[in-house]
Amino acid sequence: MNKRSLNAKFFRVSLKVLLFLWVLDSEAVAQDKKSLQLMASDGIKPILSFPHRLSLPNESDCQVVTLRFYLHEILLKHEGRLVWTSGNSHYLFDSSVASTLDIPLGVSAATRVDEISFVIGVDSALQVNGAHSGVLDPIQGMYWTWQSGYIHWKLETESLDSASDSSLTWHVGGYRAPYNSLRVIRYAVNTASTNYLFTVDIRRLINDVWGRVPLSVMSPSAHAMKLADSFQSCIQWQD
Amino acid sequence: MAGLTRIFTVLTVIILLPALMIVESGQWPERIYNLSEVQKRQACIDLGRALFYDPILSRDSTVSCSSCHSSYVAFTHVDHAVSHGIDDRIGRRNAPALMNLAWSNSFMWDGAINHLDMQPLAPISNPLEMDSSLPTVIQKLQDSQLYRTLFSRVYGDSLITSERMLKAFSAFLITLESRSSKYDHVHAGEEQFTEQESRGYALFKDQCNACHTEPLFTNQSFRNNGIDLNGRDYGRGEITGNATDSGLFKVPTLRNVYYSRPYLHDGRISKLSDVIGHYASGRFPQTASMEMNNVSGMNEQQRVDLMAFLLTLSDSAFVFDKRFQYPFKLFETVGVQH
Repeated sequence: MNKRSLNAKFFRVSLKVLLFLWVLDSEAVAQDKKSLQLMASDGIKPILSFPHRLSLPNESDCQVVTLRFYLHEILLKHEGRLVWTSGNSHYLFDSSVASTLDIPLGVSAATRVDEISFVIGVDSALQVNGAHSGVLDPIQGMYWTWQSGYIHWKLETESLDSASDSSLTWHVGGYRAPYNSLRVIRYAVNTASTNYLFTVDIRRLINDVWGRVPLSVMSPSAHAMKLADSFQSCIQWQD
Repeated sequence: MAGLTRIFTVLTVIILLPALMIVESGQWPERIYNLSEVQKRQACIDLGRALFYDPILSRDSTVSCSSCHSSYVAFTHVDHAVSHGIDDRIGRRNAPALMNLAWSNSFMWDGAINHLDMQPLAPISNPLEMDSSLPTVIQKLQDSQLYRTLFSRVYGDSLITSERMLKAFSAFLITLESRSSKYDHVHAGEEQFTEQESRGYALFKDQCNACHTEPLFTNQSFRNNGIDLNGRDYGRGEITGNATDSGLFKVPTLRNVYYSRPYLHDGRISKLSDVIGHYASGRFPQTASMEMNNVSGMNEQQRVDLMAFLLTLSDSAFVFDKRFQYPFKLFETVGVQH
């Protein structure tokens, strides 16, 4: 067995242990509800605390200091029919607060669901609707002040290599064409699943766009669109 | 009989003309923003007014919104080509006049801000203006007995959040309505233009109204008026990223234009007659927006006539309205300090 497959096996086992522990402890189980959980990974193991050390493609080291992202419009379907929707609710993953985002879903654990989807970012209609509260309060630091618009997701790293400063600052937003960087995550899921665990593979994200986008992206742009595409592909359901 | 018909027709036109003009030119569109019941309360308007005039929003509490938006010059920064902020830092653009914001669907010369609620965030965080941050401002307000009192009066408790603060700002800014100029009185049938003003009005409708559309005297669009951009500021293009938007700036209202000097996005022209001179030349580069084709050049008499009409857009009742000025009485009544 080579190192790569060992890592993959370790990753899967780690996630399953975490999922098991989380299920035991979760509010959703206490209420016999389905639930959605999101967390970051470095491609080898789940990230349980931030800052988190990571090697960059240029072989310099960095630490991931910030990962934050919004999601909304969670849809549960069965055989093409809508079973449940989160409505207008928005949720914020914030690495400075917790390493996981747990979202109780409004259906019983026994409800049959074969597809789950959600949108990464903030709904376009809310973007032009004035000031909001809660996770959408601009004080959360996820709103641009120099031009109106929420930052859908944010990844920031700090360089640990004095010889090569490759700190990343990616603030990805934009709700209007041609730079609408909202992205839909959609997966077919096992009908019997009660808890849906998704990971954001940060290493894969960085590797995917390395050299194709600048180290700093902080406005709606073609670069932000590339980042949004990669972010979408790095969010994966852990069966 | 034919003579009687002619007299009847002339009389009909004379009687109905003012009413027709109200319908044609003076009819105001619906306001864009629907304020909540809370925002309509005088206490909320007072809170927004206090925030507008209070330098507490800036990093070192020296600069307020009113520093660059003075009520007595239609809420612009008189005699400064571009605004200057904290530590005398020089800004980039001319502070726009503030009025009739309830009809505005975008703000700033480049339209960067898409809702009135969100407008205060830009100057608060701009390092050339207030150089502060939202968390800092909210903390300072929470630490202020004055603002705990003012927020309690509006919301029933002293919780201070950015949403509450921003909506109070909007409540005040929405009240800045200017619609009591001579132009308005003429369209209400209460006054009449002089002959010169009438000639200027006709000229205005022929050459200017496509962009500075009545009764707001702006169509809220972004246009290139043919000035030399000097390659320093790409306006709307900086926001949209579209090359075709480069060099476009928001069409400003002409209401109170006499008060709101200097002019243009970078304040490069300080006299209204010189602005008219720019348009009167009738010669513009190819980059100018197509509406500039309407501007065919004006002789000296026409320039004076147009100026006479533009002066009828001055609304002294608005400019000197005490409800919009520094709230001495409010601060005295509350009777507490920061």
